[in-house]
Amino acid sequence: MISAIARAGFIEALRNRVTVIIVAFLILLILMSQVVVSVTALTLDRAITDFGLGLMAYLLVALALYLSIGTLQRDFDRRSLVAVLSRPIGRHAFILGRYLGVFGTLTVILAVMTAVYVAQLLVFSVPLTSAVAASILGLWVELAVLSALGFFFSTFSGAVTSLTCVVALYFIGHAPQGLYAASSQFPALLRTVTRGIYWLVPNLDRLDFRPQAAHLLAVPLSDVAASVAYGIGWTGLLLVATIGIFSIRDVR
Amino acid sequence: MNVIACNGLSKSFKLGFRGRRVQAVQDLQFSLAQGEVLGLVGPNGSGKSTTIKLLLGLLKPDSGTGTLFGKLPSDPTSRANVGYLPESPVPFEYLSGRQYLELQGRLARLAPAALGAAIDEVLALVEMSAHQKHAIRSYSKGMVQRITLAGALLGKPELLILDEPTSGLDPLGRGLVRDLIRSQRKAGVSVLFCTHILSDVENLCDRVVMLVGGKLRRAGTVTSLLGGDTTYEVALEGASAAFITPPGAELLGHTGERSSYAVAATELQAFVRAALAADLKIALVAPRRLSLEESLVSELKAETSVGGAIQ
Repeated sequence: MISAIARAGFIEALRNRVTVIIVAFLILLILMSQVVVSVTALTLDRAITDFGLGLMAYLLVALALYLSIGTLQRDFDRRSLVAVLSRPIGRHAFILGRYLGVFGTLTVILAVMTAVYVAQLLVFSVPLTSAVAASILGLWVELAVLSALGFFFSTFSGAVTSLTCVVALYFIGHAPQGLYAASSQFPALLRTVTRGIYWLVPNLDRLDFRPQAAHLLAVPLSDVAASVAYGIGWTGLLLVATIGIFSIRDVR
Repeated sequence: MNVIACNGLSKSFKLGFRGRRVQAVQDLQFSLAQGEVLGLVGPNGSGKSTTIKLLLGLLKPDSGTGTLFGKLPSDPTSRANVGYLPESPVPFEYLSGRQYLELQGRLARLAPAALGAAIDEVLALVEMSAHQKHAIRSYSKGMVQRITLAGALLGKPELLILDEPTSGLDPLGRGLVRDLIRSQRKAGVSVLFCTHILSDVENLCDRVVMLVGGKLRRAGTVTSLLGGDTTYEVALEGASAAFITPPGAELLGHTGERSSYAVAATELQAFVRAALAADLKIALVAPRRLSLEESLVSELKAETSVGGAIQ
C-alpha cells in the first residue's frame, strides 16, 4: 500500500517540470564551478568542495520545500487524495506513502548530484575526505527533516503559511546557538519564549558538516552517528504528528 | 445485512472567519440493500456528496452513524469491496492512465499476477485502452471521468458509489455509463448513484432518496415518488384564444392551432364538456405522470414557500 503510493509520488515528482528544471540547473552549476574557482581567492580544493556542497544544499532544500509542501497542497486542492483514501487504507499509509515518494525523489536526485560532484572532485584532483561524505549524509538527513516539516505544516495550513513557517524554521535551525546567546539580552518573558523556540526547533546546524569538509577537517564518526540519529528522531516525531493531525482532518 | 445503513447521520461545517456553522446533513436515515440501485437526488448543496464522504470516512460525522457492510468508516476494511467515482475527479495528473489504474489496483489489494488482466478488462469497459499510456494531464474531462470510473470498477467491487458519473461525458459516454450501471446491477452489484440528471435516476434506480437542505425529504421507489395518474394531458385544436382555462387546468403550451393543458383527474369531465361547448376539437386525452424532475421542483417550490411563510 505505502510502496504503491510512494511509487506514484516518485513518478509524479520526476515528471514535474519544476523538478526537472531545478535538477538541470544544479548539474549545470556544478559543472560551471571551475569558472567560480578561477575567480576566487580561495585555494582550489576549498573552493570546489565548498561551492559544490553549498549548491547542492541550497537547491535541494528549495526542491524539498517545493515538493513536500506542494504535494499535500495539490492533493487537497485538486481533491486527488479522495480516490486514494476511499480505498481500504489508513490515513497513516497515505501520509507515509506520499512522504516516501517525495523523499525517494530527493534521494535519487541527491545520488545523481553526488555522482556528478564526486566526478568533478576527481577531475580536479581534490581529495575526497570523510568530511565530504559526512556533509552529503548530513544533507540527506536534513532533507528528510525538512520534508517532514513541509508535510507537517501543509496538513493544517495553506501553501504560503507552510512555506513561511518552514523557511523560518530552516534559518532558526541553522543558527540556534546565536538565537540562544542573543536571548540572554532579552527581557525575561521574551527570553523564556526564545529559549522555548530553541528547544522546539530542530537544530539543523548539527547536520551541517560543510565547514569541516571545506577546511579538510576530520569529523568523528560518533558525531556523525549522533547527528544522523538526531535528524531521524525529528523526522519520526514530525511524521507521527502529521499523521495524527491528518487522521482527524475532514477531507472535503 | 444492508450494504449501506445511515442512522441519524448529521454533519455541519464551519464557514467563514467567524466560524458560522452550516448544517450539511441532518439526521439522515436510509439504507441500501444487496443488489439494489439507489438514486441520491437533490439540488446543489443538499448534502449528497457530503453523505457519500461520511460513508467513506472522508468526513467525520457530528452525530449518528453510517456503515458499509455493517462496518464503521473508521475501519478501513469497510471500504474493501467499494468502488468510488468522486464528483469531478482529478487523479494524479502526472501518471499515465495505466499507472493510475495500477495504483488503484494495488490499493484495492488485487494480486499482482491478476492486476494486468483486470486493468485491461476495465480499460476495455470504459473504452480507454487506446489512451492508457498517455499522461492523465493530457486527457479531456470526459476521458478523466472514464479512467476514474475504470479505477472504481477495478477488483469487481460489491458496492459502487458513483457521484455524478455522467458529468462531463458526451451522449455516447453517458450511454456507456448507463449500460455499465445496468450490467453491474445484473451482476448483483449494489449501486449508490448520485446525479442531477433525473431521467437517468428514473431509468436506472430501484429506489430514490431525495435530499433537500441536508434533510431526507422523500424516499421510496420511483413509482411511489412520482405518484399515480392524477393528472391528464388534453390537447385541443381550434380557436384556443376564445377558450378560457377553467379551474383545475393549466395551459402547458401552444403549437400552431393546438393547445395543450394539464387537467386534474377530478376536473377532466367538466373540462372536456367546456371544450366541446366552445366548439373545439379534442385531439388528445392521455394520463400525465410527473417526471422525477417535476416532482423535485415541486418539492423545492414547497420548501421555498414554507420558508417564506415562516420568515
